[in-house]
Amino acid sequence: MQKSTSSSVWKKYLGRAFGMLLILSGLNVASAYVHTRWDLTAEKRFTLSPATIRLLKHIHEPIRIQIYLSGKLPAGFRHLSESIRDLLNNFRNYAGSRIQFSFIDPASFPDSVRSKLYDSLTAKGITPYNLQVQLSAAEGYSEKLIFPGAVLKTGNKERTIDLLESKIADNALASLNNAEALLEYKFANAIYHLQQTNPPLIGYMLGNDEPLDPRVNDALTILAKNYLVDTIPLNSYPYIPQDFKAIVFIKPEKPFTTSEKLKIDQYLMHGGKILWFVDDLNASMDSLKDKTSFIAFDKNLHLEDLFFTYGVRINPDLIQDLQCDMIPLVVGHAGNQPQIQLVPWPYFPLLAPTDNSPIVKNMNPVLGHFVNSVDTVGTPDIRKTILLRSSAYSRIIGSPVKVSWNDVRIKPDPALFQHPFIPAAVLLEGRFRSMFMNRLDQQTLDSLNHVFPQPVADSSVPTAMIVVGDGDMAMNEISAREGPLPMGNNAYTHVQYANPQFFANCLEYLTDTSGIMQSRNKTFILRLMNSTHIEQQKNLWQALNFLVPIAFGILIGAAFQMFRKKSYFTGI
Amino acid sequence: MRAILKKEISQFLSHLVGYISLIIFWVVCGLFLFIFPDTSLLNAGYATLDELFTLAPWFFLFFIPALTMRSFAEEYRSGTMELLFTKPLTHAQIILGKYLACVVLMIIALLPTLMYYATIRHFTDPGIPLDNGGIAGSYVGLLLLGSSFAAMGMWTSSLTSNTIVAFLLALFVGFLFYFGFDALSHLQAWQGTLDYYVQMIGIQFHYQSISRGVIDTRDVIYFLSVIFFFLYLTHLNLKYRFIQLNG
Repeated sequence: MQKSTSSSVWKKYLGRAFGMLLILSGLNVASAYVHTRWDLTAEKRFTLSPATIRLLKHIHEPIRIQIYLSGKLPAGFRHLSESIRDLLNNFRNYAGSRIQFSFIDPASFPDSVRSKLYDSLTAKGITPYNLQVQLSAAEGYSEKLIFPGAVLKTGNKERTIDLLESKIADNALASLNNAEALLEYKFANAIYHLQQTNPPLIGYMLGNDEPLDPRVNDALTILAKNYLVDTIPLNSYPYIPQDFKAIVFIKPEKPFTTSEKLKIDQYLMHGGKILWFVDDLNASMDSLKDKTSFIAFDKNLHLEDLFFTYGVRINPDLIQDLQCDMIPLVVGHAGNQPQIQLVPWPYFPLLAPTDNSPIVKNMNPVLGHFVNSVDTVGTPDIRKTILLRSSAYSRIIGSPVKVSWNDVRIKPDPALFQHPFIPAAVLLEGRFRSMFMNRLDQQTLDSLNHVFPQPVADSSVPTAMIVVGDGDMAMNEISAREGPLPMGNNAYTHVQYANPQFFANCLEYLTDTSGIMQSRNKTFILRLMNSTHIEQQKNLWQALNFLVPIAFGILIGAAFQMFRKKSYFTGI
Repeated sequence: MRAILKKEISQFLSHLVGYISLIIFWVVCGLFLFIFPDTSLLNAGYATLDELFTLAPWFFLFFIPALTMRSFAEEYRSGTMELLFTKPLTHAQIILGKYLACVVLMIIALLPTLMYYATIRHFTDPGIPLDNGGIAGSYVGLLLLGSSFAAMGMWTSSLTSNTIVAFLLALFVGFLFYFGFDALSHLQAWQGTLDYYVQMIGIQFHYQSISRGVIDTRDVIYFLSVIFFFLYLTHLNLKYRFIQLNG
């Protein structure tokens, strides 16, 4: 054993090992450039939509993401938290280190910091979720706040994602599953808006007595969050500029003149997008303040012909639905205090989102107030998608409708609610025909072509509009104590419905040029085990899962011994 | 090579130690996945085996070195290595034979976990399809992970004639590759710059990616590289140790 050989052997060993390391590293680096992947999961859970991938590849500034779901969480939330980690890791496949994320447990901070953090998270719009945690049998329950949300930052811009959006009520796991299916969209959408330097311009229509007061506070807040907003007084504008990517009508009250309809029509013909929240009948709770009943009469907006040409009709009727919101009703007096009881009010249906479109996929019900039914008509070139509809137990009350408190005093008879799934919101897409086709003489046309920036068109470029048969859906209530509430929030019970998401998604869909909206279309199957079944057979299956592997081991041992003896004998 | 593979497996199965390590593996799996409430499959209520694939790397970290520790260390100790070298076998054949024996034993250890699959199938209503593709993908990831640990174990076993040292070294190397690089990536120094790439050197990054049910060629190539690298190191060990022994 000479020292020289030993050291030269070491050199050889290290040299070869290092050489192999270099070769393999090179192979791995090379494999990063040409790679494919197979998503074996049943729903292609981990395959991002092409739009998301395009977005991630073009991130120019690093984005920091903080997720406030960490620490000791119940299984459902832990599942969601893991899914977020998976998703963001997947994002990093395309964006590399330009996506940075960390998980934070808000409960892990000392008390003084924690309450401040809670306040700031709530202020950012993450709704805390109150959780009952069982400490131990003796100590009982303690309350824990969970903030199912994330904050994304880039430069000095910041966006918040609320992962759950609404209170988990009856089916907690189902809403967590929905939240999971929406993760890609929510994160991609937030990143998209962080990256966007010129948000689209949206017009808020005025001039036909549309509200511009605290009742549309939430609508304007949502608009201002993602877009540039300007008001358009329809009567004083000579035309609607095409700079507006979309225009929004919320609850017009005054009839539309022919010249106004022409402006709208030509805006649409040249590619404008329109979102309508329109009531055909005049009905509101105010009319019931000091009366026991009122007749809902027609507003005469004169929009019928316009809608009809485009392929939709808002009917002069009201939807009544057994699946509806609750309103407070004074049922009597105890002393001098009014006795208030919550009663279901069939005129406030909880409209169910259909599964047809990314606008409404995986969404909670949307609250409507005195909703008109919407029908689609004719126009074969226009693709019509129903977005919202009533439940299986609903009916239509034709005009003239007498709305009366008595409706709630009698318990509604389900046998009378035989008209299921009445459409209340429709998306129209395609090439629209102009309402003014062949209706203007040459002289009018000539003068109009002087005023309008583009010549009057008979049919449109491919475009889209959404018609909702309820003006109040995009409006919010105002509470005496808290001021304007979010839209779709019951001022009395504070139950939050999905109206803000519906409103935001409609706009997002109409102005979407990136295609990110398509990633809302995911469906995740909720795979749950039958818990009652588990309760009954838990012990048996626990035992089985212990014994079967051990039995398997014994079996292998026995088989092996037999095999060895046999081969021993044949060997001789 | 097949003779070596057979010999190794029968050696493992003819000792009580082999059965004990298998049974400990299954009992630990059973405890974590069916008894301990925090990780119990039945408590979580989801019809997935995610918990198994999260915990299995931990179990493998201990179990695989127990399989591999004897491969060479024992031969060195009892002096049968020279005997092996006199056989008409190349070093590569010896190494592959012993390595494949460990992989086969690992697969035997994993077979009863199909019982867990049967369990979640049993408790899920027949109308709900399980995510079979995803679970199969996770198993592929677990096999690749175990095979990497086994390659590390082969190498550490070829370094020493003491099986305990071989076991501890394998445990340490496995731990380093699985958690070390991931932990290293959290260092403040490269936060936001290199952390992603440091993480990528570690096994955990690639294992997590595959165990979701997504098979990416990059991850597969990574695992194959790790396996090949450690088997190559073992080969170098045999080669130079052989020279030393004779010189």
